[in-house]
Amino acid sequence: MKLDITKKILPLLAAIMLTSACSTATNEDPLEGYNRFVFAGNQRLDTYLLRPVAKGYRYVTPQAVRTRIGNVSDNLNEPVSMVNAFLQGDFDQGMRNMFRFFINSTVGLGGMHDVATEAGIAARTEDFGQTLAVWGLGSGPYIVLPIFGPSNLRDLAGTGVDYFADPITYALRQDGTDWTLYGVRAGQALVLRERLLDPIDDINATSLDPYASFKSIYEQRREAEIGNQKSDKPKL
Amino acid sequence: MTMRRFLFALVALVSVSATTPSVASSPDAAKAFVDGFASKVLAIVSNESASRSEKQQKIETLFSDKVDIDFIAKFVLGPSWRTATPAQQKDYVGAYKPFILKNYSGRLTKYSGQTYTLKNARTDGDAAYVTMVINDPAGQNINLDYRLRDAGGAFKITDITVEGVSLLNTQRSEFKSVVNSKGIDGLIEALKAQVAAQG
Repeated sequence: MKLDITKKILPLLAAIMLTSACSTATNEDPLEGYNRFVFAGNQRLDTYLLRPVAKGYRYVTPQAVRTRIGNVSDNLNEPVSMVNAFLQGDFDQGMRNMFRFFINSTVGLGGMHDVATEAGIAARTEDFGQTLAVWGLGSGPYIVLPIFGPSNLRDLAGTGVDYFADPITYALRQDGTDWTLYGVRAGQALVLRERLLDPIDDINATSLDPYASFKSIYEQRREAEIGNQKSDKPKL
Repeated sequence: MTMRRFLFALVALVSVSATTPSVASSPDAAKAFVDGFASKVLAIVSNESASRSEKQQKIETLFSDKVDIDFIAKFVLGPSWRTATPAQQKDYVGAYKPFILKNYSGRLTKYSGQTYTLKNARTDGDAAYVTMVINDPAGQNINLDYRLRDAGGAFKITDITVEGVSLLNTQRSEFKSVVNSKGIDGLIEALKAQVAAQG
């Protein structure tokens, strides 16, 4: 894939800025019809493919092994978090991400051990969707993406930019093909789905309208993550 | 990646609340209340000699005592509370109580070694806020914020926020959506059906 950031991403961002600058209301759902349709498809895909694969992964691996694999997966997110922390003007957080990546990749043996957290530097992820929010952009409408699930216009743009801006994307392409990259990203998705097995099962079992629950949770969670960027102070 | 930690937290979220009847609504008293509540929850769910239904029963009793279910029921129905007839309000609250108790007591019985640490506490009028970190041996730590209300000398839990996700706000969105498509009576039916399905 060619990295045509200036030609493809910037006009997209400009369009999003124009359409979403004023619409930050989180309860509206102008795309509800489309969203519910995609959500239903995602739920089926999850029931018959993603969830069983995640269950299988949990079944064949001990917790200790999954923790290591999860740490490696998390460690790969540090560089793009660092880039975004700097873009948000949060120099301290950027340095923390950089330090975490450095120390966990070396002392932590390729990220298997999260020694940075043990040293008192807790994990915090930053992404370009959050960066856009810090820059003052509204979320735009809620959008359920096929396969990937809950998002909004701002986070959709953010995910696209992160994909191209992530140093790990380039590092994983060193062999000249995209297959290593796709394999690692699929592995990260599997790690995430396994972690979410119990909470998602709970929501699907107890919610009277899982679509509405996932939407609300997504929106609140994103607001909380964006709020973190603006202040390190405890919420209380 | 974004849904990761908060969703996770929903698993553990059940560890709300309280024990010592507090005298004054000072931050320390609020903290002591949450500490008492959480330690009682832990004592119940970590008791290996108790059956799942025994645990569930004890959790439900504890929650009925320490959680302000009447307040929560009204809040999560949103503006529809005011447009409901008195009969509907009564039906709704009657259906809501077993619904919330069963949902959370069921989740809490899936305990796997978590512990908790209390962080900050503050008060604001008759409301109090206490933060807690759940330490999960198998995964990432989870941040919880308890909101309490001083109900005549004793605290009651009015909301729990898990990694930035308020249970009240989430349920309010859920119920609003159900009322929009099925009306209040439809919501009441759905609550009853859910409880019946869980046994």
